[in-house]
Amino acid sequence: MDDKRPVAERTDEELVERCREEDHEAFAEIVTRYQHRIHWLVRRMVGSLEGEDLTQEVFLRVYRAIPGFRSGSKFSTWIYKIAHNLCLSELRKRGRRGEHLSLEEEGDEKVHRLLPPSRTDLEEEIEQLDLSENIQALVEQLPARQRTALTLFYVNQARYEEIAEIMGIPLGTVKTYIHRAKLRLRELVLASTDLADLVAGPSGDAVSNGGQTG
Amino acid sequence: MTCLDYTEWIARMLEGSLPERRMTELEAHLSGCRRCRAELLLQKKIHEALVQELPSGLSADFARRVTEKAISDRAAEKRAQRWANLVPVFAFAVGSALLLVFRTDLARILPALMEPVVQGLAAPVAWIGDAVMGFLARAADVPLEQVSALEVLSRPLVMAVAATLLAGIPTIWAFTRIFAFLRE
Repeated sequence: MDDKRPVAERTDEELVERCREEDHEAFAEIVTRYQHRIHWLVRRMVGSLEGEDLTQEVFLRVYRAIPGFRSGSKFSTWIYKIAHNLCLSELRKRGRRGEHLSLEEEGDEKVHRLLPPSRTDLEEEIEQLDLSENIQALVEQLPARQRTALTLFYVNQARYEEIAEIMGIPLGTVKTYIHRAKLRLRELVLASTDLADLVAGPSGDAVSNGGQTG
Repeated sequence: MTCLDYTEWIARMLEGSLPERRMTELEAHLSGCRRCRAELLLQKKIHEALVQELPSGLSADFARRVTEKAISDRAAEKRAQRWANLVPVFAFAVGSALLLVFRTDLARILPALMEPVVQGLAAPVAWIGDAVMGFLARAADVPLEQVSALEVLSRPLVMAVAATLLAGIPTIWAFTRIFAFLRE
């Protein structure tokens, strides 16, 4: 029986099948469905410049690669993998050109700042903190792989296993990247406010207010 | 345990990776530590900021533009592929034209061109022939000499077959490319 459902009601995999039959409406629906999530991933991986051009290139590659998409695979994982690989190539190109945003990872992340125990209005101050404006700028300061794993987890809502497949790394490494990224992000948030006291230097040496219990 | 350690535990709890036994210990600590309660609030704020839906900044007609570009790229690719079909046909036609222009005597040149090939293949073909004959002799239960006495294929016949293949295969291939061009 001929399926008359509109494209917006179809699953990703059904849309892929229709794309294979050169149904352009189905491809447009895939772009509409994924454009923002892909754009965020691209921007977080390579920065804001050229973000739209790279996002477009991701979808053009998807269109060309759709005949090779294996039935049974998860479409979102597949499309994020294409976006991730394209961004990696772009980062390598920029690395060769001597630009920033390298793939080098930094060392183990540690907690260097603690909230002061004596401030009575602390919870109220945190409650009023508006991170929505500057979170993007802070995330861009994270090392590339941590930034990618964090974005896939929070923005693209991919599971740990999917992130491991997309990034081609072990599951444990994904968890480590996300954990370190969050701790580093927390440090960046605290450094950008006057909420915290520095309690340990980069080497972990106590400086002041040494993190005592309670 | 210090508040530094509990700060890490809070991060793990929000990631959903803190073991159950540590969860109980963390909850006990949180109930008595104002700083770590504030820390939990801070990390929740960061979590909320990370998951919030933000405007992507893409132009409003992005999906339409990308779809149109994908379609036009595919059409251009198909056109290029279509004409690529004719490259071997042109090469074949040019080769034939050159032969005609220079009045090349193919009947003289082809055997000369094939001679090294025939020489090179003589030994393996003879070995295969001997093996086949040996097999036939055993299968038919006749002396090998009787099988070997069968008439050998004449050299002109072999050359004619080889020449036909040499000219025929490119011709057939050229026709398949022409059909592919017309079909697309």
